[in-house]
Amino acid sequence: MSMHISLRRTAATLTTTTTPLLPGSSSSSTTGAATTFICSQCRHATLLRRPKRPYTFTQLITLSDGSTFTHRTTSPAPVYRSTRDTRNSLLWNPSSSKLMNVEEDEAGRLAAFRARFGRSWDANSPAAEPSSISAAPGAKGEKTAADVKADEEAARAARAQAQAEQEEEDNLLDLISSFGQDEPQHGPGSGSGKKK
Amino acid sequence: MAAREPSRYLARTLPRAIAPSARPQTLACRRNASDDAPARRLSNHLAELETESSLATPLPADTVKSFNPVAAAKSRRAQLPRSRYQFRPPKYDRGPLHPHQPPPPSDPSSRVFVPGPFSLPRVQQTYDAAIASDILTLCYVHNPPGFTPPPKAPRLREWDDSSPYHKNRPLRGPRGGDVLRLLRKPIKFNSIPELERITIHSYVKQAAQENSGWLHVAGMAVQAISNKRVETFKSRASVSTWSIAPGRDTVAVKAELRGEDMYHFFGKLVDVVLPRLKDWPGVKGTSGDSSGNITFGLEPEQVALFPEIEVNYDMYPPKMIPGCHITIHTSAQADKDARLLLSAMGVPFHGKIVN
Amino acid sequence: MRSLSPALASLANVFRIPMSLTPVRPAVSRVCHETLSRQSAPTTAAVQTAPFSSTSTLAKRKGGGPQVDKRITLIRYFLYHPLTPRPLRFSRNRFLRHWTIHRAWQLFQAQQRKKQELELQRQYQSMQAACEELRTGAGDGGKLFRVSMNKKGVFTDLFPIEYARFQTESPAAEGWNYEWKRPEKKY
Repeated sequence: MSMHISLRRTAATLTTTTTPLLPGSSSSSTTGAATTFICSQCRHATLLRRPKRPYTFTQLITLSDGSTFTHRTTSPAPVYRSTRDTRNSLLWNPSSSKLMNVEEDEAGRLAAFRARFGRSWDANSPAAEPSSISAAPGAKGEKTAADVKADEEAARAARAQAQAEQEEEDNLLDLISSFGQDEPQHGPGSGSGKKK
Repeated sequence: MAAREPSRYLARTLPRAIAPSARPQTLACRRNASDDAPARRLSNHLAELETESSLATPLPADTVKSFNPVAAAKSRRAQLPRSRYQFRPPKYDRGPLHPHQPPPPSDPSSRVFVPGPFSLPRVQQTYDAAIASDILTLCYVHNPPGFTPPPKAPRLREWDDSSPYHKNRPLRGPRGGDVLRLLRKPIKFNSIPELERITIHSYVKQAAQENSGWLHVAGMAVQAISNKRVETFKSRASVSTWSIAPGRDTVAVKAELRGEDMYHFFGKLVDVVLPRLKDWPGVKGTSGDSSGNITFGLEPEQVALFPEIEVNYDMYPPKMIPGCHITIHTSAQADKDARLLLSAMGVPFHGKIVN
Repeated sequence: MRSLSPALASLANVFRIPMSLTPVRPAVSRVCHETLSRQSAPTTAAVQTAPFSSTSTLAKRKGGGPQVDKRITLIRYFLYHPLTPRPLRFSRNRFLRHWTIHRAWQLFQAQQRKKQELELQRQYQSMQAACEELRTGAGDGGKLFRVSMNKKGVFTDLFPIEYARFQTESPAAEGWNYEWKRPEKKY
């Protein structure tokens, strides 16, 4: 029977050879959306198959910034919490300053290292970092007071050094950016001739 | 007896059929597409609506007295079918000329009836509320009133009549290639590009080389991520290195999403799945078939990131989870319009953008 | 699907407790459980799963044909599964009720579509009027009009990706960032 049907379908639609996935349980090959109805005489009958639809559930998805929405899925889990989505990935937020200098710490290894050995090792990022790292505050609570004091001293030294480095970098950046920005200020007449 | 039955019915129904009526009786079982035209439907039905509630107005006493539904039903010449009568639709479509026609697919007794939609997808709401009007504004090109664009050269070239054999030849194709591209119409309020359908397609070459289990797992995975039963396809090309012969090996699985399914899938894809891909730069700027359909591919380990597959990842053989191609068909006629739409809907593009 | 431990399974077998974990779809969970418990064989091999089989377990194992992954068997089971409910059969009143609601819903949707289209048309026409006014009545020789019609970068820079935020049913924790501006493009 399925052979008859496929023959007729090929005559009626296009050149696609459509067969149901499994011969006993066919998919919706009877929906006539794309069918151009050619009223040629055909003596056989087409079986109108019951369309098979997978069971769907309503799922609540919680994005990483706390916004939620529901959608229909085949997944039976009622709630899905996503840890990585458009709200916190850099590709979707190229202008977000919060995401620009987030470090690659997906497994929490850097945070664990800091919880154990303090922050004096990473000299480059001393300023106001703890707020941006999620795992750090939880780890800090476990430290002893002495540990914290030593940590702070080391951090202060590192901060001064990093500031010096930062200034140098800023000067360099200023130089570069001013070099780039000088050119369009020569005047519209000269600037229009150039190709950007 | 049996031969007399139809004639009795015929005698009953004949006067009705002969009586002049607004709509021909023979067409009563068929629904025409023009019946559903919004203008016609709106005007008819709105005129029939009463502005006042019929419950509030008091009825005249004689109407109340003469109201006797039982007697009215008994005095009816042709009895209605029993209330327990339940229509059983024909199992086979026997062609348009057969007297026993299946009901339309929107009828719940039809065998191809699919209920729904059951939700108003948020992608659709966002499109209607913000994206459509923003694209309209962004692409607005002003033509002064009375302005007519200069006529363009015909797209098919004529033959110069240098040879007598040019007579009655069909026109030549465009210069530089024989493909006639779609004409890009300006974007106006009735031609804003929108999502039409999404096709998820997966070509499983191992289905021809090893066994059908690959195809079944691929079908199950695609069904899980798309909420839609898949169709299978045979190969049309011959790939001898994979030992695939045309017309013999069933190698591909496709699900076509429209409407509610499509919007839910798109929202899930953009908001949950695509940001989780490792080192994914975005859809290639050169993607597209130059008529408004954008395609990109997902690797098997990327398909495994869909929440539906993740939730019971153990039920799939891990090496048999398929990769897939996702084609987003838009109603735009050119790729640049389609890209504009998709970028408004959250699909990032990377690389040089080629139209 | 979480499978029970073999000890629990045998206990359940003794006390005739149905081993399905979810009461909603007993058939499905039973099938899954049976197939999967057959797959993780070696500990439960001593328990005879088929009570009326005359072949011993060892003999059966020796002559085993091609080993099919049990998960594929399950997937085939669910794909082959022929159960689709029959079409609905309504009596007269229920059918009329359904038909009325269906027509009303179609009508409502048509009205919504019409409204949306008219709204877009209204926007388009007011844009037209504004641009015509800018072209003729602004008094600067059409300079502003020409600037406003500049389509540079529309089809190359596309929408900024931050624009693409679909509506959600509940807002984010930090709310909407109203101060966001499109960053200046660096050339």
